[in-house]
Amino acid sequence: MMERLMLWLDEKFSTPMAKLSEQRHLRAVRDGIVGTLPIITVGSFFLIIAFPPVPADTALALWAKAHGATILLPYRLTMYMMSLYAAWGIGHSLAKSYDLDGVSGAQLAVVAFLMTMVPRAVDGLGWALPMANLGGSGMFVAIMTSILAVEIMRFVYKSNFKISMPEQVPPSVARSFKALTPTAIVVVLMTFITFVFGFDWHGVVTKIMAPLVTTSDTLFGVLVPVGLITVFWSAGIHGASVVGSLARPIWTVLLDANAKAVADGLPLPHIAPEPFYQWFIWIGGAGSTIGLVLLMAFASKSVYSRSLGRMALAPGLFNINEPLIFGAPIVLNPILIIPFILTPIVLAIISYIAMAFHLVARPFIMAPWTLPGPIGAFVATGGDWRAIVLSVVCILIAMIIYYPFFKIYDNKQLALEKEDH
Amino acid sequence: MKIMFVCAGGMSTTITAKKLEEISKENGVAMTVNAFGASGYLRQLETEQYDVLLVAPQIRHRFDAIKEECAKFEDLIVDKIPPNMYAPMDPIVKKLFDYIMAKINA
Repeated sequence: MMERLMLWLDEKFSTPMAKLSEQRHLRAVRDGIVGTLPIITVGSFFLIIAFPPVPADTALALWAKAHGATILLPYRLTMYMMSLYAAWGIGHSLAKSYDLDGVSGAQLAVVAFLMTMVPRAVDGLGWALPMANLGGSGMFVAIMTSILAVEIMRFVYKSNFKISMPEQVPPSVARSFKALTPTAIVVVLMTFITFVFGFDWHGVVTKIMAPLVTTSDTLFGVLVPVGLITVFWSAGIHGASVVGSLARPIWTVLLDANAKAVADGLPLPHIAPEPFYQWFIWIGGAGSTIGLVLLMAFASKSVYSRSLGRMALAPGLFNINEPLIFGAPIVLNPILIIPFILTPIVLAIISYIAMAFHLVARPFIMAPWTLPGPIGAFVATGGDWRAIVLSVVCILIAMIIYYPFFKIYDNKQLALEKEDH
Repeated sequence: MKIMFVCAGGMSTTITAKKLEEISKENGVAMTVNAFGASGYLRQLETEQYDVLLVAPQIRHRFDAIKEECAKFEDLIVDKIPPNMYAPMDPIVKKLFDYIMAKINA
C-alpha cells in the first residue's frame, strides 16, 4: 500500500515537477544565480572582517571599526551588486539553450538590465549610477530583462525577421547589419520604457513581488520548500536543485537585505535566506540525515547498517548524503521516509522560533555548503556562538526523531543477515 | 576504459566513482572513473575521450537534456545509474559494475 503510494507520487508528482524545473527559462535563471554564488560567498566574507565576532574593545575590533568602509569595498563590488552578475549568467545560459552565442546573450542581458536604471550627473564626480538596484533587490528585474533581451535576440535570429538590403549590397555587409538588430531593438525599447515613459522598473517590480518575499520569510514560507525538498528526495530526486530553481531568487533577495542591514549597522530584517536552511535544517544534507548517520555508525547491530553508517559518516559531516539516501536506501523506503520528512520540519520550527525571538543571530553570510554543520552555522551568523549551540541541539533532536525508525530498519537488516547465514 | 559520472555538483558521485575503480580492478578490468557536475561535464567531454557517461539518479530528470547534449559524441554510451546501484558499498557497486559491463558488451 505504502509502496504503491510512493511509486504513484514519484510518477505523478516528483518526476513531472522535476522535469518542469528543466524548462529553459527556469534553468537559465537557476544557472545564472548559481553562477553568482562564489561571488556572493567570497563577497559576504568581507562582512565578517568588517564586523569580527570579538569583543568591541579588542585590537581587531578597533582596527575593523576604523577601516570599516574600506574593508567593505570588496563586498560592495561583489555581493552588493549580485544581480548584475546574475543578469550576465542568465543571458549566457538562455542564449546557449537556444544555440545562440552565449557571450552576445550575456552582454545584451546586461545592457537591458542596466537600462532599467537612470544615471545622474553628480557634481565633482561625473556620471554616476545608483548601485542599490544592482544588488539582490534588483534580482527580479534582472531576471525579467535578461529573458526579454535574449528572447528578442532569438526572435531576430530564428524568425524570418530581416532587414532587406538592395541586391547590390554584399551578403557579409547585410549580415553585419543583422547582428546589430537585436541590440538596436533592446536599446531602443529600453530607452522608451525607462527614459521616455519613465517606467519605474524597480519600484513596480519590488511592489509586485513584496508579498512573495514577505511570505517566504514566514514560518509557513519556510515549511513549504522544506517539505517539498524532502518529498523530492524521497523519490530520489535532487530536491534542492528543483525547488531552488524557483526559490533561490527570493532567498538571494532576503540574504542581500540582511547583508545590507549588517553593513549599515541595522537589525537584520529576515530569518530565512538560504543559509538558514543550509545550517539549521539540512544538517548533514537534505532530511537532516546527520542524526541517522550517527545512529547507524555507532548504534547499529546489523553489519550492513553499521558499515553504511561508517562509510557515510565522513561525507555526511560535510553535508553530502547521497551515499546514505541511496545506500540505506531512504528513497521509496516507507519507514525511513517518515523521519526524513518529519525531522527537517521540526528543526525548521525550532530554529525559526529561536531566531524570531533573537535567541540566535540571523544568517547573512553565504558560507560554503560543505562546511560541517556547527561551523557553518557559526560562520553564517557572522560568528555567533549561540548558533553552534542551536546546531548541536538540532543534531540531537534529529537523532531522537530518527531513533525509533532507525531501530526498525536496523532490526530488519539484522533479520535479513541472520536469514543469509 | 573511461567512465564519466554526472551529478548535480560532482561531489557525491566522486565517492561512488572511487569505489567503482576499486571494484573494477578486483574484477580485472581497468576503469578510470571521473565525476563531474551537470554544469561542467560537457567541457570535459570536449577535451577528453570517454567511453561511457552515466547520469546519477538524483538528477535523472535532466537525463533527456544531457543525452541530447551528448548526441554529437558518436561512440559514447549514455545511460542512467539505476537508483539501487548508486551507493558506495561493495555489493551495490558490484551490481553497478556488472550493469556497465553488460552495457558495453551489448
